[in-house]
Amino acid sequence: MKYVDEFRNADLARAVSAEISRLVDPNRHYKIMEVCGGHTHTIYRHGIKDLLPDQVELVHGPGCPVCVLPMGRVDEGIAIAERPEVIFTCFGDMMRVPGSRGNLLEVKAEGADIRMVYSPLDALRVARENPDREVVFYAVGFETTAPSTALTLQRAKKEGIENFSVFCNHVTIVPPVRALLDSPDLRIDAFIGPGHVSTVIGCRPYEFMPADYGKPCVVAGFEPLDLMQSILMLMHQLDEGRCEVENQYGRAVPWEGNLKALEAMAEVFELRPYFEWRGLGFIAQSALKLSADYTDLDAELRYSTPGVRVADPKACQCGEVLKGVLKPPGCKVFGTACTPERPLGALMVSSEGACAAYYNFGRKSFEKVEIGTK
Amino acid sequence: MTMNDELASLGNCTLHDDDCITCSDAGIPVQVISIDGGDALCEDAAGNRTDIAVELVAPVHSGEILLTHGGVAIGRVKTEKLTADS
Repeated sequence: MKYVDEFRNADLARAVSAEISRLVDPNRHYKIMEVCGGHTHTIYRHGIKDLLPDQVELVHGPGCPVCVLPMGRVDEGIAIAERPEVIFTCFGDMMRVPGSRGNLLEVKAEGADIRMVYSPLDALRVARENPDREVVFYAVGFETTAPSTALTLQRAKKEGIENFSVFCNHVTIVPPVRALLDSPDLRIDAFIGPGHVSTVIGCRPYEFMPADYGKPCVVAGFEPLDLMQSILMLMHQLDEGRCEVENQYGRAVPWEGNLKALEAMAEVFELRPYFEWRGLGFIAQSALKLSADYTDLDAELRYSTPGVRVADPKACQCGEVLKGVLKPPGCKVFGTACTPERPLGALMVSSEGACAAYYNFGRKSFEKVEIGTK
Repeated sequence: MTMNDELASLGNCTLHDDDCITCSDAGIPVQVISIDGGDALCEDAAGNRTDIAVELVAPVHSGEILLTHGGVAIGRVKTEKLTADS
């Protein structure tokens, strides 16, 4: 059986690895941030780190949408879900994201009607099938996911479905990256840009990285060799003194993105003046809310969510990990008080979260280092 | 389980993959089987079939390969070979 052989070919991976090593300046330390949680998952799952020379360090960025959701927004979703008239729908990962009073799975166990869906269109179908109930979809995700919410809202409006609404927590990728670049804590040499976000928004939005900050960016796919090739492309840029946006993932990312998807998003959403990101604080124009034409389908308005702010648990160091200043095992509660079975911080919840990925796939190399240093 | 070679060569995600059904930045390559208005019956590499909304990539044709996320097609996929020189 053939199974993604071109993108997991060991000989090709070794060849790319050797070429990366050839380009490394032995006296320099390279920090490359993968913005996207899907890339973090691939890096740990396939042991990419072990194929890179010691001088090349991968730093995990803020690109896991459930991980960056602040606890206050989780609590507000739970408050809506607990209303007796509501059928609350959300993606699977969202069910286990901890709020200050537990998570959606626990609230479901206590009797709330909470249903996992694979698509916001499934939530709309639930609304059609339950005209006497209020169906709310908990929308989370970057620009990859926002088009599906936009299309669902367009269909709801067109069909006049009034018992459906969306609790919108969609975020955008460029503002947090800019915030990270402005952060004095962090020195990043180059960026691996998100793949499927870029299928929607294209590559042009990343041009500020080389233009304003002098940082190269390569938009990458999600197979191991996609990432290896992207790192090689970044190393070539750094070696040659070039600084530009390149697209490694041409098979899925058009340079201009998906204009129809962008049009749907522009109709349905508008930028929030600011939004709180877990670990990163408030970032201007970094999230979406429903536009004026869709306020009647906005759960935030329908249920008058108060916009509460809840501090993370003191022991939780998700913020430092999200900013790339701390590796997951450096967190005080990693693997002890905080595990995928019982997550304390959001980064341990989703398989795309840096801590969960490290816990599931990366501990072996960590243990090797630990043993080696003893 | 049989895998559609062409789809499998585009990535490891299928419609039943836990990593792909949530809100991550995952995209699932699927092939269009038939079209019904704004939706199309699509099949992934493992042979799973489901209806996918295709308005955002319209017009679509049977046999085309789309990239889907959250039940909605967000793009098309081009096939390409990866070599040591690429």
